[in-house]
Amino acid sequence: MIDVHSAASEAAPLAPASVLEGRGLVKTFPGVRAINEADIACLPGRVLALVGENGAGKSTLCNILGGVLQPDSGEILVHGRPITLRGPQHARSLGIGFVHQEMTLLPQLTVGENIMLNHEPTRFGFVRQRELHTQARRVLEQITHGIDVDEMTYRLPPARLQMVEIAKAWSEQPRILMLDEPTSSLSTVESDHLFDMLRAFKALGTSIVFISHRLDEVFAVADDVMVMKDGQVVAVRPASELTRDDVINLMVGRQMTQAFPPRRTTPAGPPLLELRRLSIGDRVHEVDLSVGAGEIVGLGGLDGQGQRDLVRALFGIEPTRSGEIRVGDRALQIRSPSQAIAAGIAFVPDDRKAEGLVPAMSVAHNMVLSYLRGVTHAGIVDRHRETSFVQRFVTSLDIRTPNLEQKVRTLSGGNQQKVVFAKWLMTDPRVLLLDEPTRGIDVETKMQIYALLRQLADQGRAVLLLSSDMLELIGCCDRIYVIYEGRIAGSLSGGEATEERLMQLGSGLAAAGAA
Amino acid sequence: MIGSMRRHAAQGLPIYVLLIALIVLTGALSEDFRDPGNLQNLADRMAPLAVLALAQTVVILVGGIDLSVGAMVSLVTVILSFTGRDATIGIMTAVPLVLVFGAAFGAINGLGVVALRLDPLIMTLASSAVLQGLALFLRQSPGGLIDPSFADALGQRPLGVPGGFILAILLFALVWMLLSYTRVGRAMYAVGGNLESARGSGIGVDRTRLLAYVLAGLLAAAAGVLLAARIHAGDPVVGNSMTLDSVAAAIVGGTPFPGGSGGPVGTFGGAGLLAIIGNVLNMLNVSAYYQYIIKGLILASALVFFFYRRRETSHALA
Repeated sequence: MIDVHSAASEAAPLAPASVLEGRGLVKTFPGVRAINEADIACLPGRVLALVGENGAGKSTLCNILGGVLQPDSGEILVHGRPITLRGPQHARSLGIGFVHQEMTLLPQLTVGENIMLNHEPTRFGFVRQRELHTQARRVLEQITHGIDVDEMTYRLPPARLQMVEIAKAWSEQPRILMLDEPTSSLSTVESDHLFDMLRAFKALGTSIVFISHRLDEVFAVADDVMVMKDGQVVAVRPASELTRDDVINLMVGRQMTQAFPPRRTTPAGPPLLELRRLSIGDRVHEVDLSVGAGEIVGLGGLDGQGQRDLVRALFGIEPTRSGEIRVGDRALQIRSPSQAIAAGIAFVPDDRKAEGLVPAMSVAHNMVLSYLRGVTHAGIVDRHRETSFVQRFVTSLDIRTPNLEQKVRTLSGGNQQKVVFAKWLMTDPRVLLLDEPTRGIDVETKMQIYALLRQLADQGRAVLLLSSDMLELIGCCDRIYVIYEGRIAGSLSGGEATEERLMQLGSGLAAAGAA
Repeated sequence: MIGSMRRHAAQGLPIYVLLIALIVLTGALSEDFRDPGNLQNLADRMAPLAVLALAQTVVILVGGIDLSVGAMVSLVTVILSFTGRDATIGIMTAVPLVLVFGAAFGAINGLGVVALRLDPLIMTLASSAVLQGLALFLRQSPGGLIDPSFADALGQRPLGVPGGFILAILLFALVWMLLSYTRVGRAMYAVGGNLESARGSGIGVDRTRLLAYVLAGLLAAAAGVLLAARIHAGDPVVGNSMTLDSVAAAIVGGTPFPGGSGGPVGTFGGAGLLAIIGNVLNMLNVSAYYQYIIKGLILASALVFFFYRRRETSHALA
C-alpha cells in the first residue's frame, strides 16, 4: 500500500547524529512554566513517542521545535548546527514537518491545493493547476488510497482529513515529522494504517516524533519513549525496556503540594443531578451519572473523551441525542442556557474570556449578567441593590479589584474566575457545572476555589467538576467518574482514587473498579 | 455610583478634547465662526446627523451595522414632502406613520440578521437599496413641501437654541438612559461584548439584537423627520452621504467595532466634530468633494486609533 521506493531517493542518508535537537528549552506562559530545561534529540529512522499527562508540556515542546513558539531560553540544533527558528515556514524549509493536533486545512480548497499550499508549482507566477494536482496525487498515493485530490476538502470525513494533513506535511519531504496526537480522530483500523505509514517513513530514514495519550499505540510503533511531567523530561528510554506500568508510574507521582479541604464524612443527600443513558451526538454514549446534594463529583479522563460535550449539553449549549436529564426529581429538556438557568443550573466554562465573561464590561456588570432579573424593577436597574449584591460577593470571595467599575479584562486570571463564580452564585444554583475551573490560575486562588467548592457542597448544592488535573480530582471530589471514548470507564470514591488508577481507567486499560 | 457606563462615556472623552480644541481654535481664528447665527446654524445642521449616528451607535454596540439609515432618511423626507401644499396626507398622520415604518423596517433588518443569519453588512445594504428605490419611486427629484406649520414649530429657537437640536438632545438622553439603566441596555452591551458569554448568561441574545435594529430604524426615521423640517422639502438622495457620516460619528465618538463599548455620549461629540469640520470647510470654500476625502481620512484615523488601543489593552491582559 505504501510506496517506499518513490520517495527513497530523497531520503537522508542514515546517520547516527540527531536530525533535530533541543537543549535546555524553557518556555513560560503567564503563570505557568510550560516547559523547563527540556532536552530532546530526534534520531533519523527512529520513532520517538512523547507521553505525559495533560499539560505536561508535550505540545509546547513540539510547537517550539516546529517554529510555532519561540523558547525563552535554550538551544535548537538542526543537523548539529545551532539555529534560531524564525517561524513555522522557516522550520519547514529546514525539513521539519509538523502535523498539528487541530486541523489546518482550508475547507474551500481541493485536497490537492491544500497539500501543495504555499509550495505550488508555478509558471510565470501562475499556478499550474494540473501539475499541482499531479504532484499532490503522487504524494497522497504514498500515504493512502481512496482520496481524490480534486475533491473539495470540506467533503472529507475527519479521518481522511488527518491523512491529508499528513500528506501536506510529507509533501515538503521533511527529514523529521512531528505529529501531535494524530490518532485522536481515528478509529483503530485507521490508526493501524497510520502506523504502517509511520513505519514506512521511518524506513526512509525520517525521524518521527509523535505525541499520544494511548499507551497501546505507543508500544505498537515507538522505538523510544520520552516521558514528560510538569514541563520536564523525566525519562527517555527505548520502548523495549519499558512496560506500560513503568510509563504510567513515570507520568504520575507528582507531589501533593496543595492542601485540600476535607471531604464529606456523611453520605450525600438525594441526587440533585441525575443522567440516565444520556447520549450526545456521536461523542457521548449512554452515560449514567448522579450527583447528590452536598456532593462534589469529579469528571476525569484524557482530553477529548466527551466529558466537555457532556457538561455543555447539561447547560443547553449542545443538543442531546437520547437519554434523560433529571434535576431534583424532575426530568428536563434543556435546550438553551436560559432553560438550564431556570432549572437552577450554573456553568463555569473552560474558557472564561470566550464564554464566561464580557471582558470589556465592568466587574459589577459581569457579575449581575445572569441575575439581571434580580437587580431590576420593571426593567430598570436598581443601582443600590446591584451595588450591595456585588459588594457582598466581592468581599466574600475576596475578589481583588481596584473598584467595581474596573473592566474585568484587566483583572488577573484568578480574580476573573472569581467574578465568574460570583456571577453564578448570585443565581443561587442547585447544581454547579465546572469545566476546568482552576486552569491558568495561581495557587493561592486555587486553594480559595477548592475551599469555596466544598463550602457550596456543604450548603446542599450538587457540584460536578470536570478537570484534567488528576490531583485536583483526587483532592476535591467525593466521587470521580472517568470517561473514555464517550463512555464511563469507571468510577472511584475520592478515598480510593489514585493517579495510577485514574490513568488506567482513562487510558481504557482497566475495566471499571466499581462502575 | 457603579457601572461601566462612566467608562463607556469616558471612551468618548478624546472626541470632546478634540472638539473643544477645534471650537476654540476656529473661534479664535474666525469671526464668522463665532457669530451666534453660525453657531445656531451649526446646531441646526448637526441635529439630524447626530440622531442618525445615535441609530448607528445602537446597532454597532450589539455587534452589527446598519447601512440603510441614510436611505431611510431620504425616504422619510420624501414621504413628509406630501404634507405641505395640496397635502395628500396630514402631518399628524405622516409623522407617526414614518416612525412606525422606520421601526418596522428596522425589525426586518433585525430579522434578516438574527433569524436568517445574514451578515448585517449585506442585509442592510440590500434593504438600503429597497428604501432608495421607494424614495425614488415617490419622488424622482427634490421637491414637494413639508407642512409649513410643522417646519416652523421645529424651527423655533427657545433661548436661541434650535428646536431640532433640543429634540436631538432629548433622544440622546433617552437612549443613554435605556442603555445605562435598564436590563435591555445591559443586555446590549453584553451581546456586543461577547455573544457567547451573553448567551451563556441566559440573555435572550436574538431578542436583544432584534431590538437594537428596531430602535435604529425608529431613530433613523426620526432623523429623517428632523432633516425634513430643516430642508422643508423631500429629497430622494439627501441621505446618501449620511450613512457614512453616521458610522464615522459613532466610531470617532468611541463606539468601535465590533461593539460592546462606547455609547451615545461619545457619538454626540463625534457628530459635533463632523458638523464643525463641514462648517469650517464650507466657510473656507473647500469643495464638497474634498470634504468627502477629509471625512474618509478622519474615519480611517479613528479606526487606526482604536485598533492600536485595543492591541495595547489586550497586551496588558497577557
